[in-house]
Amino acid sequence: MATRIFGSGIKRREDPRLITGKARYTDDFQMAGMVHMVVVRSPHAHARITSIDTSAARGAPGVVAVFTGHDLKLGAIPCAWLVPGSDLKVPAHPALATETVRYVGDGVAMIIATDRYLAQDAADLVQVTYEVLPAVVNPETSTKEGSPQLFPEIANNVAFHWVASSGDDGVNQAFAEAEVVVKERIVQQRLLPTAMEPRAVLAQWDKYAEELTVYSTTQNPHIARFILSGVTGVPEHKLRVIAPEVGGGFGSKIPVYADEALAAWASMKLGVPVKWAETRSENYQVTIHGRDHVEYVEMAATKEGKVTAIRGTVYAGLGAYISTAAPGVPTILHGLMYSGAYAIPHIRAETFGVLTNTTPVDAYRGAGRPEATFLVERLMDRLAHTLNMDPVALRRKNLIPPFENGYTVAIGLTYDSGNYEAALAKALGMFDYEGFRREQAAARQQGRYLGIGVTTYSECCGLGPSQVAGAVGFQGGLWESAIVRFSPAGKVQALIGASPHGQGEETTFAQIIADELGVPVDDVEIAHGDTNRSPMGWGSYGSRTTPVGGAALVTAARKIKEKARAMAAHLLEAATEDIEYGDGKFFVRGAPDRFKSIQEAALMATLAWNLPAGMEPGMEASAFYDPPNFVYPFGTHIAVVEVNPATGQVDLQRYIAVDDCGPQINPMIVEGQIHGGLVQGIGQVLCEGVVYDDQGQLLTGTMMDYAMPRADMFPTFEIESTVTPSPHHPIGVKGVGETGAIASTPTVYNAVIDALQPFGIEQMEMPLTAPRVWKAIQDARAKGGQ
Amino acid sequence: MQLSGTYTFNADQQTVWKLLMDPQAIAKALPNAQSMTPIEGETDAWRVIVKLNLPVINGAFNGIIRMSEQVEPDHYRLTVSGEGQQSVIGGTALITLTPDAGGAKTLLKWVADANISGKLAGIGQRLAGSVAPMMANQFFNAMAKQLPARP
Amino acid sequence: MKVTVTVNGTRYEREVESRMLLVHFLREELGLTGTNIGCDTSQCGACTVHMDGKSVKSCAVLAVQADGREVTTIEGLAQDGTLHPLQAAFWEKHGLQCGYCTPGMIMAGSAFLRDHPHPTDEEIRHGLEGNICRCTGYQNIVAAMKSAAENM
Repeated sequence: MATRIFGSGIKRREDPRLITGKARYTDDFQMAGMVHMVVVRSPHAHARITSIDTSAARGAPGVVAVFTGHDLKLGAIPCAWLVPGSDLKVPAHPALATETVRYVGDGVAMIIATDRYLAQDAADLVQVTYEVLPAVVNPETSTKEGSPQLFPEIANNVAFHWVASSGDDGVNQAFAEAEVVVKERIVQQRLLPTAMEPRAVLAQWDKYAEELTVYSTTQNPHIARFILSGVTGVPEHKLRVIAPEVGGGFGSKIPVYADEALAAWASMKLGVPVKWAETRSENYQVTIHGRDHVEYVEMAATKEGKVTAIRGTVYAGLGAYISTAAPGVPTILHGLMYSGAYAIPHIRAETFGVLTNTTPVDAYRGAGRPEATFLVERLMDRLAHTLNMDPVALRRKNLIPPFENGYTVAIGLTYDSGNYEAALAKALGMFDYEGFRREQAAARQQGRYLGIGVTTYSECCGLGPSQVAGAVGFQGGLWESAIVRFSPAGKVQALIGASPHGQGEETTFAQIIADELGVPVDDVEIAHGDTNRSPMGWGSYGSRTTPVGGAALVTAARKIKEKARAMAAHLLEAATEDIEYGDGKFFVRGAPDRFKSIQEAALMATLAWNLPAGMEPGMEASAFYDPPNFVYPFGTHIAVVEVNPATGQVDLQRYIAVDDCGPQINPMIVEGQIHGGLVQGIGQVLCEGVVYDDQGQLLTGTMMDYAMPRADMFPTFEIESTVTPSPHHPIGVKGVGETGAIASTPTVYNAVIDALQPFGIEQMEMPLTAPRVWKAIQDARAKGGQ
Repeated sequence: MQLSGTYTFNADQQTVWKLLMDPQAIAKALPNAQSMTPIEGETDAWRVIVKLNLPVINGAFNGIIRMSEQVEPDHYRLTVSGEGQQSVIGGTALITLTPDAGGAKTLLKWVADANISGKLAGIGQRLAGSVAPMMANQFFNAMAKQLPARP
Repeated sequence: MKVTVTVNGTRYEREVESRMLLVHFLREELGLTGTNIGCDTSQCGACTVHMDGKSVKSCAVLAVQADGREVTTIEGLAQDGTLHPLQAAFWEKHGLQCGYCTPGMIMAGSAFLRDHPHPTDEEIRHGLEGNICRCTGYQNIVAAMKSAAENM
């Protein structure tokens, strides 16, 4: 058999168009008669609208129309994750506010003009008078008596209260009897997803066919169609959503926002194509933010370091309205992951979903799991320090032992497979841990502060079984589908429902097909991102494209192969069971010179001149794949930092990541995913953080003010892997899109805290910027630290 | 947001006071002002249009300037409100004048409370602490240039 | 106002508003949409092009300021159908994922390599400070830059 292309780091077929400037993103499209939309947004975080005067704007040059919320005939923007058992209340989210604005950036009017500059000019002529109301920005404060109330029907701004528990009695008893309890208050600061391409939409209403076409920067065109159909009233079969080239998403392009609905409605109203493209500062105001937790967490253990229980209470900021998937993120994707990679007998997770006068919060790379991993790993280090135990030894003591087919943690999830010790051993094999501890001790004598963080994690991705989706209130399925077809001349086209936007599945999926069908990889085309061409799928997020969409593709390819085998058998005048397959050829057992290639079989099935009895013509198969479980990638990450006590500067010196995502289709692409995730996770520790003032004004409103990670902050990452297949996946693969972002935040954070041990510093709020670290050191010194 | 600053004029207090009350002098000195017109029916109140040229915010601001609580020649209050570019600015400053020992120079102190909302807050709030005193200095420098030549 | 700009070797004359940014001129007047816009404060570098051989952020230049100048965009970097060595290196080393920052990164990187033909990793990382990428974690961009330096 020829060399498998599966497992080979071939160059990406996406790249030629991207490196030459030929790729077309949403804002690159022009249409005849196209007009531009600009949304007039509230400068206040909380205010009653007393009047809106659009007359001056209507008369401005180039203005085609001006609309307010009173003109709209649009449904409210829905929430699509209605977490059960949490008394969730979803307040109405109108596309344009008519009575009350609830965050800076809330839309109050829209301008349609012939040119985007003129639309922007006219936006300034809309006179809105506001009666400013008090605002609240911190999710914990927001729940307190006397805080400003966002919606009269939602008492104390608590939109839901969710609890998951392995059994409260057991948890309480474990804490009551614990020999050691460590506690921490953790603030998961707000982050800006900052996909490099801001969001954009181009809507075109065909009044003759009564069809709406929407080009959208979306991670999930079919979900966008589903929701936009509901909001605009255009039936789904008359609504086409196209995700052309999409410049990154990281979760921020999952939701359907008011802007998409407004552009669609305006196009229908005016009969011309309408384009909206947000600026970066607008992106920071209105596109979802991530994280925003205030957490109270604690861990119980024996003196020997055996963890007996973990529990937490989380105030999760939702922002001013409840975005598409927001309720599921700090609950299902967070609370159920408190066990991490450890065997912990008693677990309780409690989450308050809290409204504040801020931009809505939703899934951002990792979505709930980074926060869960952070709290577990943080408590582990805290416990190690309290017990004066080595943090690696403590982790070893609590790791779930290797398992190949299912391990159920106390809070109920069944992990698919794991070998955490092996990943840890591999990482430690790349790093002289004992030597480092000696170096660290010696350096401290010289006034140099080195620190190390070691994280052993497991995460949960590849969302997920649809039955579970239904049980946890997700308003959709979570299966994927694929169509694989041979053309008469032997080329293969595969259509997938998932919608990659930078992850490289046009390449990796072609590798899967090439391997399954024994055809040259260059003969395979992967198409996606257009609801009129791609079969149904639920989108690319939650590291699910390859675990779920890839499985659908494999399943469809295998159906094709079986049909081709039957066709070949017929042509070779042999029984199907006597046909063997190798390297794209079907041959008669014992007579390898009697064969038909898969292309010949496909051609003959397509011509249909001579089909076996009962066979339909054509060589095409579709498959719907609903995963039986999530997949659980895992690994060990190690970070080494040095903190300069004179400046507070944190220097990340080494970073080792050993991840296990099962067999790797394309190791080059896997590594790329890990690199990117690491930088996002480390960005949270070292530089990123949204700042609101207490009136709800967003102070980090541009890239000048929000610190994005830059190339010179990082060493060369050292990446390795172990391979533990998922037992339930047809080719064993697990997702790898989020592992870097999930594991790196606690790793680097713990390394900094480790470096600062001599000062007695146990905790700081992220980001650990130089001034903040410097101040912590000064405060510690004043209190009598080193 | 609290802001404050000082400026020293090379003139006696009465001259400085007269200058500060002169709308034409103010109009000339306001940084990037495009127009300043008295509001009908009110005294010591003007409509101004100021052109801002910052990243993100690039365009006109419509504002109102009011002077009140004048106690000649010691102190007065300046109130500014403005909106534009999806932002709102509001602020009030107490301005006091004190002569130096010889009376040839006048020390001006200003203490302001400012609020910035909307798009401008996203970039301006952080910068305001350093930009506002700079702009105030620019303004007072431009005012000082209009002092009558010393005999 | 009237401007005359040579872009990728072709001379264009256009009537533009004085406030029009060069990036909008390229994208909307000339249809050269390879140059992307990633921010509005000249932080991200996605819109980097060459003007008279030097890399500039085209969101920080007015179209009228480009009058009489020569501009090269990502569309004009490959010569006679052959990729620029840095384009080839980005492909080879997986220096891009979503590709949105890539045109600016390649334009900035190619200008950097002209001035620093044998850069260290550290110099490359420092040299790319003005360009932000959210996908790659920069590591493979650095690798692409090194590889291109060897092949140029």
